[in-house]
Amino acid sequence: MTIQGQAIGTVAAANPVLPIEIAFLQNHGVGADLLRRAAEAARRSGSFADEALLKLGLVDEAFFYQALAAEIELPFLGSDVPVGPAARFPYSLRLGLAPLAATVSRLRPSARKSFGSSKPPGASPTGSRSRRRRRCAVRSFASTEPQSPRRRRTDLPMPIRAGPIATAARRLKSCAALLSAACFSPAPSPISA
Amino acid sequence: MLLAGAVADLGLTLSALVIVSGLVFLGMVTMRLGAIREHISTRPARRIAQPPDDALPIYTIIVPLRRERRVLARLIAAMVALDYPETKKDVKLVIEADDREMADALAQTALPGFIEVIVAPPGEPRTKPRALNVALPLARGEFVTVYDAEDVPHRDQLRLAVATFARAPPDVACLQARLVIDNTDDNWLTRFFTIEYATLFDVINPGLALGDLPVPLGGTSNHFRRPVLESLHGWDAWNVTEDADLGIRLALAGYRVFDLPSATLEEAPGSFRPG
Repeated sequence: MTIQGQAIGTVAAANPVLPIEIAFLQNHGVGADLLRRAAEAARRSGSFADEALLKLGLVDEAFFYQALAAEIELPFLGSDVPVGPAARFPYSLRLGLAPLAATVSRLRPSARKSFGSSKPPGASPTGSRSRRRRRCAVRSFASTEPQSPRRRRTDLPMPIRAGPIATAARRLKSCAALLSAACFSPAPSPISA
Repeated sequence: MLLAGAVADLGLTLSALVIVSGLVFLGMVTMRLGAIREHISTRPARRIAQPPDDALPIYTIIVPLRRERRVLARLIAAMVALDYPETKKDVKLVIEADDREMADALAQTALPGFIEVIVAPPGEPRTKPRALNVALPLARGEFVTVYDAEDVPHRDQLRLAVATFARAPPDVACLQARLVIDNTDDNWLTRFFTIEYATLFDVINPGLALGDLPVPLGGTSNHFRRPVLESLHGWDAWNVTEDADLGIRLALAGYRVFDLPSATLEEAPGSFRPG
């Protein structure tokens, strides 16, 4: 998937203040100074700001993905991720997207409810969230955090022979802007690949 | 008559064995003498221009761990001390599923954000190369290197490797850094280790590399171009000398190994009892 750098880079260029991949954290109580520190570290090293934020340990990884899931209105599954039998190692991990087990559907209502309460006050910079949700065709995604499943991986089904679900969330996170954009655009979603 | 014939055959066989062994020994001595004659410096002969931070690639470091709680803090300190942008360090610690000692130790340790833990699934063989193969498909770096738990690489080793790869032809798929024993004075056994490592990593391997000969890689501090390593399907999980085996497979595939004049400190065992 090459969309990650292109999309984030394009959107980030439009926002010289904070890169888009971390700017949303302001809605979740993270201070602008800390985000600017991550952005500066990313600029110096030629990395993405979210990578700098996490690798420098400026925010907790679980918090980051929880906030991201809330921001793009996806259920957050935490560390207990029921991976479906169609998931494949290492392809699901490299792509960053793993099919979930059927049981996940039972998790959704409560998960969505719990994150609904964490929605920050104020309007979204891109418009009404309810309108976005109605138009968004991407309904079957859920977000998780990378590290915990990595530590737990032995209880994953055998098709995932090793490791973590892990980078699934990282890539999903990288698609966040695209997912949001897709909700408003009549054009086909670029993540269909 | 029959006995005399058997004795004569045995004599011939032994003579043939002696001749073959002598030729092998002569070859090894010649190779060592040839390596001694090479001018091999312990540091780069001249400073190699190094790319700026924003041009550095992601670098994957794989560290298999098995009941290494004792050196965990030292390992993490060594990874932190590496002079490389933290946003581009991709450090993967691999533990076995049933290694509760390491799992507990890691759970109690605040790991830097660039270090992640991978749990190898239960299965056979329970070897270091298998652990490396578990981590390899998850590597994100353009380059991949392997360290042991007790290793302390020189802080500029990754930058030096990137700069050396950048100057090297594409068929140079691997750089072997120098392993240096850092507890030489503990006892006579560690002194022997020091002599052995110094001979191998400071003389023989660099000599083989200079001669474009196959290099039996050391178990750690070998730096690879990731696509080449993947094309060779990583390490042989069933091979107890998977490092040397990979060096030979690289040569058979047409790739070369260069010497990387950068030290990695290692701790030699001080006794014959398993740690």
